[in-house]
Amino acid sequence: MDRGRLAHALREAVTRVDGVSRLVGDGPVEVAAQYPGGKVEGVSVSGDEPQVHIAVSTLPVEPVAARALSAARGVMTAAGDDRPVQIVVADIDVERLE
Amino acid sequence: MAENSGNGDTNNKAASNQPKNTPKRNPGPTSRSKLTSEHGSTSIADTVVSKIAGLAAREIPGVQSMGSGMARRMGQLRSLAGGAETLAQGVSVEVGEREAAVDLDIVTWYGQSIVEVTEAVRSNVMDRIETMTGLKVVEVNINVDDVFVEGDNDDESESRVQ
Repeated sequence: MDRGRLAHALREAVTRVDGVSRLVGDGPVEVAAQYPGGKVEGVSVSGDEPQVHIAVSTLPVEPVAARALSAARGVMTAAGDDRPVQIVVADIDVERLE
Repeated sequence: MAENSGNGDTNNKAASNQPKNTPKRNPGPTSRSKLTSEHGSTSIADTVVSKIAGLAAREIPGVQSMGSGMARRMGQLRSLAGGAETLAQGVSVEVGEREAAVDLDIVTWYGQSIVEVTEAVRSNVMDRIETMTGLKVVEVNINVDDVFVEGDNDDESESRVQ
């Protein structure tokens, strides 16, 4: 699958996961998957380890990250890509800690 | 006419009829380039591959401009005089009967992952050239010549003193 489609598929699958509020592209270096005509922020499909950077709105973080990871893995398998995908919890969007 | 990058290192890539030497298996007797048929053959000029490579690189948002410092200055002068930045600026190619090799000089935006941008450029350049010309791209070398920082300009700033 080409990079643009893979990046979009990852974004779609992971943002649909319960507890993931958004993908996070900013940081000291921008995290984005570039493709002709645009980029998908918060996703990196280059190199040996693709990553999806998320912000979580439900605590604790682990179950959300686990669901996001399985969604991302599903996309990779469907794309025939056997690289291990990593979820990075880059931010949390919560009002208070319960 | 393909324009070579200005720094003089990687230049004089003359069009050759021999494919660039790469370690690969010899093609079998039935292997043919898409460009050759029983009814004749097509050859692709360097300029064509250069322009496609230049356009393909520019399609990636992370590429701010192309060409080494010298070539970019020429491009700026040209656009001041009413011309446009040449599509082949910052692109140097070697084209054979079946294969092509590309060297690019690019400028990226500061703050972006250079690995990400160069991988995206490499992948798009290979894809576009192979799809549009039928030539196999054996390598795409990318030189990140500079990074563009917002607010940074090359012009002399006004002197503080008279």
